[in-house]
Formats: sequence, structure tokens, C-alpha cells
Amino acid sequence: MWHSDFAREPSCDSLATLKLCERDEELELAAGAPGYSQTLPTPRHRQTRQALQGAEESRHSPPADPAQNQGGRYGLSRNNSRRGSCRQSPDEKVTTCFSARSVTADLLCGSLPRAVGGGGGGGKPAFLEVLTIPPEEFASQITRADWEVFKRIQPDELACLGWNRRDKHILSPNVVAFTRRFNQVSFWTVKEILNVRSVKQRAEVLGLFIRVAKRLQELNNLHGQFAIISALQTAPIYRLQKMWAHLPKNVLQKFEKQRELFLDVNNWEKLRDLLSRAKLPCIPYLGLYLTDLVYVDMAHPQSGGLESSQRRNLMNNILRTISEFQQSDFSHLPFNPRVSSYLASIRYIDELQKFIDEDNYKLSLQLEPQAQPPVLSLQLEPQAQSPAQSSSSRESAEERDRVAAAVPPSPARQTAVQAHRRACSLGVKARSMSLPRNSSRHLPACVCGQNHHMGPGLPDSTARAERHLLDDSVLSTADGMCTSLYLPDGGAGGTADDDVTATLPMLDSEEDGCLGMEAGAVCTLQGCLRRKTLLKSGRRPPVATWQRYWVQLWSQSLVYFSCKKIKCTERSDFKSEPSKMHTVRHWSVHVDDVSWLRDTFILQNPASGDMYKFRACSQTKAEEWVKHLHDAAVGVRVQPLPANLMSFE
Amino acid sequence: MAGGQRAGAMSKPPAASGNLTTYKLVVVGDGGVGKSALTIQFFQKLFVTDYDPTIEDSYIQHCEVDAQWCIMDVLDTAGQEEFSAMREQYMRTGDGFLLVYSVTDKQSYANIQHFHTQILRVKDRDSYPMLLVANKVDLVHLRKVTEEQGRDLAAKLAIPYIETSAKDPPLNVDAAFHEVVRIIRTSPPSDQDRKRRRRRRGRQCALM
Repeated sequence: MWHSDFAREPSCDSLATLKLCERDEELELAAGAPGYSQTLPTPRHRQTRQALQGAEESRHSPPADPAQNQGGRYGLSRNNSRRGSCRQSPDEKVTTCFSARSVTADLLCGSLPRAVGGGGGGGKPAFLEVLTIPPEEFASQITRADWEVFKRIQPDELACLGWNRRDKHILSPNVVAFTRRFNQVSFWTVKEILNVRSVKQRAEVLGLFIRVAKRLQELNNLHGQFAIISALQTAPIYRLQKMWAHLPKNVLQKFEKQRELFLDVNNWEKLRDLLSRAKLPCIPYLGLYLTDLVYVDMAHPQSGGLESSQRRNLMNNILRTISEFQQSDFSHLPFNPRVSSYLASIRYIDELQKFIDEDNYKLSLQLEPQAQPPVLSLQLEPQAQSPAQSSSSRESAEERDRVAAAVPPSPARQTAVQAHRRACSLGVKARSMSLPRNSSRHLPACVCGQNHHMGPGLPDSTARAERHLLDDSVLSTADGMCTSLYLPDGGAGGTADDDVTATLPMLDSEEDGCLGMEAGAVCTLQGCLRRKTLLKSGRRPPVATWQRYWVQLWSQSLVYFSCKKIKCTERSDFKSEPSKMHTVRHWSVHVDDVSWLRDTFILQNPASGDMYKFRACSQTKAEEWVKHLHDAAVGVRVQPLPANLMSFE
Repeated sequence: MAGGQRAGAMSKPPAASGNLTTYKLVVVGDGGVGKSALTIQFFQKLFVTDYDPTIEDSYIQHCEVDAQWCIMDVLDTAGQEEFSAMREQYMRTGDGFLLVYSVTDKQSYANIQHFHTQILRVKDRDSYPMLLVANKVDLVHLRKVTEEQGRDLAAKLAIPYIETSAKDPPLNVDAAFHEVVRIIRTSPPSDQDRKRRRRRRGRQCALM
């Protein structure tokens, strides 16, 4: 079976496709339909923006009649209507209205026909805002659902240890179902948090889940509680430092306490202790007993149908404990059809867990990009797409090769490689089994990285990067993988001008956090330079010192690498990750006549009033720099490199 | 019993065991690859009649590795493989990992890559002390994953490889656990890890 056949499920069936209580007044029906429908065909990067815009527009339009809200957003709108307020800043609206659907579904199955995506078909979607529901409600409905499954577990299902076998659905159907409950709640938790775009609101949702977990503990539903606590410790959630930093102290403490309860220290000492003292009603964390059963089975194997007394005793102890817990009765918890049908609508497919993990992680990386080399924090001049200039036309091919080969990890490659490992490595693998068609949307960082490999001199990575994920066929860039995704400012301008060989390296929007250097960019010149700031924004800096940098000229951008040691001359003496970068477009450069060595030159940006003095190791070097910088600054047109788009050997 | 193999474990640890480094070893792998058998074999309790997996110190052992005593705290969640959501939580606590697959089960071999990625993600590192363990090599006639394939995978993941069998007489069981300790010792821990090992309980998200 094709994974893609059911790949749609988890997203559209998740929180996203809630079709409950359209009539409920509390639910805010956002009229985000236009925003949503526009978004599908566009690549993810832009789609996000459009979705946001759409959401924003919708806020200014009169409230839509639910009936007209066809094909609208299948997501949870995250307004703060917990406080019954619709008065939000426009900024908040954007984030809050952001459709869960467009993130998750697109990540998972962006290229599938849209009709399927509705889940509800042309129905009238409704939104349940998690923040409007008190944590108690969630806790009780989760508990009711857990209890329904838990009480059905038969001792035989446990004693046969069948839940891990291939025929687990026959041997231990209820154990499997109960495990699924755990994963489902976790899945829901992660999704809900990742679907919120603004950090602040995300922290609020996080806080809500911590409260829900706390309520679950109060209800003695440790299974449900552990599901949420685990979810909060999965990589995609745990790494969101900004979000955690927004969490109020007391809530954080609440989380810490609960987390400690589920630590595996001393063979789950705390959890065991709590369970041994727990009064009914209580739903225990079943996994603990499952492990114990496996160990008893292993330590005291059945030999020839004979059961040793130790085995029988230990097994029976565990089974007895569980069946005691099964005497619990949670029927006193009021049934809330709205919340429970919402929770029930979260479909979760075990088999897809791997892919869900992947997508969640990528989404998380978009929300808070990986801690990058300092490049990220640099201020960069807004740059328009322009025909790139590099002096490579004048350079001999050998020299180019030499430069490229000598390039230690270039800024672009650096970031690309990093992004690649965490975000994409497995993604590529996993994807290749299931959703090859979406690769271009799924692996933005990766795509970006791949293109960096395309410069000459890096043939092997090129070959690797540019293969189709499914059948290993060679991908052409005609589908605009990089260009349309990674030229900010709405510009596929780089590709439109087809004699463009390289665009300026630039930082992409925060969510991508990736150096967007266009295919074919070549490091024109590099070397050790000393730099002194003469003017910064037209002012003389209070302290101006000579700083050594390894400087690379990439097309029109100058990339700086700080030194690692005191004496730096070789590339290896400098950090592999760039520390700053700026364009030299429209800058002026001239040899500094004052110095009798004539090894210095001045680079200045008349527009911003920045002026730097550089010192090369020799006069010839300085002249070479001046020449190349000048070319880059005025924009000498270069022949497109043959290696630009298709450098498959 | 293969007591010879365990000479280290038999002799008494030094009195000042309070100063010993504790290594948290986590055994990961698909269900049915024999993780629990390996762990039990390592703790020598396979034939101990009163072995009870539910007590506190069932998975803690003092060991001598390369003439250096340490405490090994082994976490094996055999039976909970399907609780996929909690995997990352306990991975976070590990100092070293045994990635176990069964040579009789191709799928378990294929899934190793996923565990590997997951660990690196959770640890937010490019590499981490891990050992690839090919288990059940005693089942020669059922073997589906060759040694070469195993070594290829290990090379790809850039981690060492070992073949084990928990069946009596056990093969390389202690060696596997000891090897992970060696790997941990030789790989310089990040500052974060060092702090964590000192005071595991007081640790907080590293976020705050």
C-alpha cells in the first residue's frame, strides 16, 4: 500500500478536521476560506504568508455565515476568546487565525488533490479553540475515553504477551487500543502546540496542556498524564526555547513536578510508588506493567508448558494489580459531547508515526530555527534581486575550480549541512518511501542546502542532492524548488533573468532560517584580510581596531569569518561559520593611497554611510580585492556558468 | 554459567562507591529483538529464581570497565515499544545507547536508522555515544541480516558494531555494555552533559 494513500489521514483527521458543533456560539467561525483556498497551490513558504494574509483579511471582513464557509479552514482558530475577547492586535490576529490545516496538512500531503483535504467535504467546518476549553473539560473527556478502553483489557491479552507480536491486533486488541490512546493524546498535544504561530500563544497552549496534565493527575489518570508529559518532552516541543521562556514560572514548576513523577530513575521509582498508593478510581500507566511482564517472561521462561511458581506469582501479581485498577469507575465525570467528539476526531495512525515525527520536527525548526552561527543575527541590507555579478567570467576556469575546491565550508554550505542533518536526513529517507512528490515542499531547508552544493567543485554532493527521492531520477530545478521558495521579496526574479548565475546570499525569513544563496553562486575571491571600521552610519566609531577576518566574496556579498587564534593567516585558523555578511552592491571601493605599502583599500557604502578600511597581506592581493570588489559593486555581468543548474557529472 | 566473562562484576566494587560515575545506558530497538534478554543476561539474573523486575535496583550494576569502576544504570523499555510518544523522553536521559536489532528480522535492522536520528535530535548533537548491536547471532539458520550489512550500517552511522547472543552461553553481552561505557568515556561530553551527569535530578530543560 502506498503510504501516500493514507498520508492525508493524520493531518486532515487530526485536530484539523473538526466538524463539531457548528452551531455552538462559543465557537468562532473564522471566514478564512479565501485565504485557505489561495494557499494550496503555492509552495509552503509563500503559502504560509498567504494563509496569514487571508486570515488577516478575514478578520476585517464581516463575520461569515457558517453556511458560506465552505471549504474553509479546517483548523483551530486560536483566538484568545478564552477571555471572550475579539479585540486583538492585527498582529495577533494573524498568528491566532493561522490555520492548522495549512501547516499540518500541507506538510504531510501538500500535493494531494485538495478535494480530499476537506475531510468534511464541502461541509461547514467549525473550530474548537483549545484555549477556550477549561483544562478540566479536556481532562475529564480524555479520562472517560481512556477508561472506556482500559476497562476492556483482558488478563489473557497481557499474559500472552501478544501486544508486541505481529498478530497483536488479534492477541491483544485492547492493549493495542489503549497504547494508541496514549499516542493519540501525545500526538494531539504536539500538534496543537506546533500549530500556533506566535510564541506567546504557543506558550499559552503549552501552559494549557500542562494544566490538563495536572488535572489528569488529580483524576488519577496517569496514562493520560504521561501521554501529555511525554509529548512535551519530544524533541519538537522541548527544543522550543522561546516558547518555554514565555511560560509563567508557576506553570513551569507544575511541569517540572509532573516530569519528575515520570522519570525512569531507579526503575520508575516515583511512578511505582504513586501507583502503589493510588486509590481508585485510577488509570495507571500501562507501559510500566508491560515491561514488567516482558521481564518476568524473560527471567522465568515457560519451559515445556510448565510454569514455574515464581513466574506464576509474579505474573499474577501484575495482572491482579491491573485488574484492580480496572474496577475504577469514572462514570461520574460529566460527558461533554462537544469536547469528546473533538477529541475523538483526532485520528492517529501508528504506522505513520515516523513521518509525523519528521514533519513535527521540521515544523518545529520553522517555528524556532536551529541555533545558527551568528550569521543569523546579522543585520542585512534589504536586497533586491538583481542580475548577479561576479567576476568569474574573467577568471580562468582553473582558478575558479581552485577557489571552489579550496573553499572550506562556505557559509551557505555550513548552514545547509547543519540544517540538513537535523531537519532532513531522515526526512529524505522516510519521504522516499511515501511522499516523494512533496519533497520540494517538505524539505525547504534541505532544498536550500542542496542548491548550495551545486557549485562547481562539489560534484559529489550535487549528485546526491539532486536525485528524486523516490526513484532516484535526476531532478531538474525547473520545478522551482529553490528559486520560488527561497527568494524572499516575492522574487523568483532570479530565475526570470536567466543569465543570473548567482543571487546574493541573504537571510531568509525567520521561519526558514536558512541562507538563501542561489544555485551556482561561487566564491569569487577569499583570503585573510584585516578590517577597521572608519565610519559606521556616518559616524566614527569610538574604538576602531584592526580585526582579522577570513573574507569571502560570493557574487555580491562579502562574508566574514572570525579568527579562532591570535595569529591567523590560514583558512583553518578561522572559524568555519561566518560571523557577518553584507552586500557590496553599489558600494564603492578604492585603493587607499595614504598607505605607502599600498596594501590597504577602502570600501564604503555611500547609502548607509559605512566605511571600512581593509588591509591585505600584499599590494597585489589588495589590488585583486579591489578589482573583484569593484566588479561586484557595479555589477559586471557574467556569463551564466554552465554548472549553474545542472551540474550532474 | 559463563562466569568467566563476568569476572569484573563478581569482584567487589571499591568501598567509596559514592564517587563512582554513573552511566545511564539506554537499550533501544524494535520489539522482539531481544533487548530484555540482553539486559537480563547482563544483570546475571536469568536463573536467579527470585528475580523481580519491579524492584528499584533491578537495573543498576557496579561494573569494572578497563580497571575503572562505575555504576551502570540500564534502561530498557522492552514491552513499551509501541508507546512511541514516550521514547524521546527517556532517550533524553541516556548517556549512551545500544541500538539493538535482531539478525533474524530485517525490519528491526531497517528501523535502526530511525532510532539513530531520533537520538541525535533529542540530544541535539551530531554524534552521540552509541553502539550497534546485532543480536540473536546464535540463530544461524534464521539469519537474514549478514554481518557485512550490519557493519555497513554501523559505518554509515559512524558507530561501532558488535554481534551478540543472549542465549546460553552468551556471546558478547557484557562486552556490549562495557563497550558503550568505553565509548562514553572516550567521547568528550558537552558541558551540558557533564552537568547533567552530576546532578541528574536537579536538571532542568536547559531552556531556562
